[in-house]
Amino acid sequence: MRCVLAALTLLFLGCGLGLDLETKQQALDLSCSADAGSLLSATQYYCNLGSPPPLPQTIACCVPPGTEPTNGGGAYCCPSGTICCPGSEAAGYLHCCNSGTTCHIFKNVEGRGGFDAWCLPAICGGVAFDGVTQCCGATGAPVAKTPIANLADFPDRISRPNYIVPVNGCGTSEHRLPSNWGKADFTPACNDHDTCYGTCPRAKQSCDDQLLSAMDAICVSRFNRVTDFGDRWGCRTSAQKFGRLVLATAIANNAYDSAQKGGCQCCL
Amino acid sequence: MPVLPLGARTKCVFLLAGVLAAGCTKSPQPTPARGPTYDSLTGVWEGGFDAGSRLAKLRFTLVEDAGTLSGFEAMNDPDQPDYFHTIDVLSGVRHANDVSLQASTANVTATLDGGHLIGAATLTEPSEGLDAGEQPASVTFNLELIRTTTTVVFPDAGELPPP
Repeated sequence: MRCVLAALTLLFLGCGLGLDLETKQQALDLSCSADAGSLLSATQYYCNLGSPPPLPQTIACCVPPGTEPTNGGGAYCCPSGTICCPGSEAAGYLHCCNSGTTCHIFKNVEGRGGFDAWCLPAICGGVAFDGVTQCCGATGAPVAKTPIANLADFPDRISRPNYIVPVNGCGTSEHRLPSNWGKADFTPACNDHDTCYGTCPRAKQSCDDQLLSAMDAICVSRFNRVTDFGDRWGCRTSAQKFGRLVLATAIANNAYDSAQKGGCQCCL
Repeated sequence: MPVLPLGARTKCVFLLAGVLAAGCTKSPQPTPARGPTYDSLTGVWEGGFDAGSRLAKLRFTLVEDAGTLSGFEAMNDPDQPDYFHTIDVLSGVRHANDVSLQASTANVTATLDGGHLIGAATLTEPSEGLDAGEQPASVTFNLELIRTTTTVVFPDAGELPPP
């Protein structure tokens, strides 16, 4: 009898532990491989691609590294002491405005349409001003450009000169994400995404769409054989579906917010 | 065949082991509403499939709530087979032993049989980038899923939307 009681006691204790394990919730491991590449070297690399030879202290890339340059010479960057004219790279004509000029964006109503940008003399209220550090305020007087506290308050924010957009591969420094699917390496696409976030002004949705499209293209390119169907399916689905979920998280929103504040400033 | 005499202590040990084995191999789940043998699908299920150039693994992390299933699907990496990439969110239903799972590019129908989920899966390539009227490629194959754990592992601390 004592033997049976001991058995039943052990049975109860043992199976009770099993129930505890079943109800336990744990965090999913979203960690990934180590960061690839140095932020600074990546930035310098992309900024120094152009021809003629690399500009000294070349900074503030206006076109995300890796995109097709319109002049065939590499990614565009504005040299130190100038400010990138927002939207000009999208129009295909980069303008880096110096201190004596300020950027003006025009809508093309004829021809190819879209927008164009030009550096015009910086005049405010009839007075010349420093277009790099100042802008023409609402009262018609030059005012200093200031950091942005809340992005939503400044939809017309402008790029900050001398700003180097940091890139760090896939994910944030605190929350890493997988940078590859097998030999499909997403690091260049993730770095472009970082640059897009930090380039002023850029809409988050536009940067995210660009990233997912680039990742999808990498999957298709890397797994292009008929026999690669399984990995192509997984790689593309992960990039497009799970990637979209990740980009909708508070972590991604905060990364965008922080990057835009870093790359932008405003006129009060 | 010689028969060894068993002492009282030895008999007790055998009885103890027997009761433990019999008790713990029966349902470890909480008593269900549907009957004494109802086995919740909550857990992590894995199965291999021919991915073309390799034998890949699919992993389904499921939570069952009164016949409604939710969770995530994942697939292992071709170069690091022990690493699973999360692919998509899942939803599904269960009617008795019949199970149906849906994700944006995958469908699984299976039957719970002896602790295994046995059925078929259809994987459809994402339609992004296709020309108008072009149909995405898809493949259907038999799939047998084995539960590797009943411990559910969810995305990190609410950073992702719930499945």
